[in-house]
Amino acid sequence: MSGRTVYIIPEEELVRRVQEKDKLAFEYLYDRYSKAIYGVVFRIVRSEEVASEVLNDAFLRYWERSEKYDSSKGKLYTWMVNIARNLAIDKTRSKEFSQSGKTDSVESFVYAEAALPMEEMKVDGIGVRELLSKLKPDQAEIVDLMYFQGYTQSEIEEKFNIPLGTVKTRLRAGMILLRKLLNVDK
Amino acid sequence: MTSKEFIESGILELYVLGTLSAPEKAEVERMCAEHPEVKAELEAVEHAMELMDQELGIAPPVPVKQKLFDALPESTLVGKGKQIHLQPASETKNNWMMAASVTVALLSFIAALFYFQKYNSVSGEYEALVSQNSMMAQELNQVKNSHDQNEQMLALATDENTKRIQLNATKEGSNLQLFVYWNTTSEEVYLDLGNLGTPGDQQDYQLWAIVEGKPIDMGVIDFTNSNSLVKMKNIKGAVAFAITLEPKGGLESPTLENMVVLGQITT
Repeated sequence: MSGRTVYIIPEEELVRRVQEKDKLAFEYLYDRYSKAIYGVVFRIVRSEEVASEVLNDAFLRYWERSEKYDSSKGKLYTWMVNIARNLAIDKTRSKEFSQSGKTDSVESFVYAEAALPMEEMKVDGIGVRELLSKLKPDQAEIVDLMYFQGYTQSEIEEKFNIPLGTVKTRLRAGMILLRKLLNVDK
Repeated sequence: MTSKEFIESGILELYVLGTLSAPEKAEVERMCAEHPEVKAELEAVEHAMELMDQELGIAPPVPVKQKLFDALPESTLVGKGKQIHLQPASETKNNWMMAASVTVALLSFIAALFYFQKYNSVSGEYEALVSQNSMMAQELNQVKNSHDQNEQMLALATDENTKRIQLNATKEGSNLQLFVYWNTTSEEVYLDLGNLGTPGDQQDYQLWAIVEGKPIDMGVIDFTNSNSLVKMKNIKGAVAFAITLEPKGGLESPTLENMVVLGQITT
């Protein structure tokens, strides 16, 4: 359970083995994706305790419902992160969470990052806030709300009064720029 | 809407973020199926988001993993241990408890002596069981091997490109009978030893294939595996197979008077 894992199992085989309830394959899945997914979840729920809980629930769900994954509809990671993101969003909407509250005004989003712990600010030299600062403010706002905080397009339309079409195009423009900045295009 | 407009609308990003309604999702899936460029862009978006998330990932607290794996339901193949429920002790009067505990202590002492003796004999039995177990494991291994062989044999025998050639005794009074399995596509040759016994220490049985009128060495027969099916050299274009009894290690060309079986290939 330690050391740097070399990720060599092809996705198809990994999916099949997890569907067959192969615990070793599942451990590999955890080692490979838990960091990315925990990051996504943490940025939404803003609490180590809640994020750990959501991560745990998400992985239990991958274990129990792996047969629901349909590779024709997208990559394994997309399926996984969407489950985790939805669980995280459900948490932020639940009663217990409403006290600590997620940001609900345009003004607060720019300060939200300050609430994150140090290690989140610089991961491999790149922090979310630093990245967002490279985008145009209106793109950064939408990317932050949707990609990092888990808002839906209709929530943004309602709460911030930004038309749906604008939300979509700003998100795309922002994401394209991020892809370039992080140099992740194939 | 053209596929370019579709891509630029930003709907693919929403699809990957999982925030689309069911009809919108279906629309994206339809467009992907119809337009390879849409599918390619969707894959690029997915790929980019995955790498971004990896890049911006945060290592979860270490205990999360242990807790998760402890909580995973066991596979149905693994038997579940019996659960022992402890009954809470019922309340009783102290003096009765005292008498009972003295009795229990005495009984325990006697029981301890008894079990000590018992332990000595059981540990001997245990050793015996361990060695028995390892013997059974060996036997199981042998059974597995022979099972694998049978499967291999079956696969070979049922392959439509496999020819089964019967080799019959060439000497009077001998009832030797063997079979050669020859896959004309893969050119593999297996020999089913049938009722062929091991030759003497100084000799070997050697298989020959007749190709264009000439005998070709197919190797000496290895009896060291107890298998009845022996893999020989590959061959193509054979018209007959024969076995001769030769000096240890075999010869370059067969000694015809020492031929024991011969089988022609019927076409």
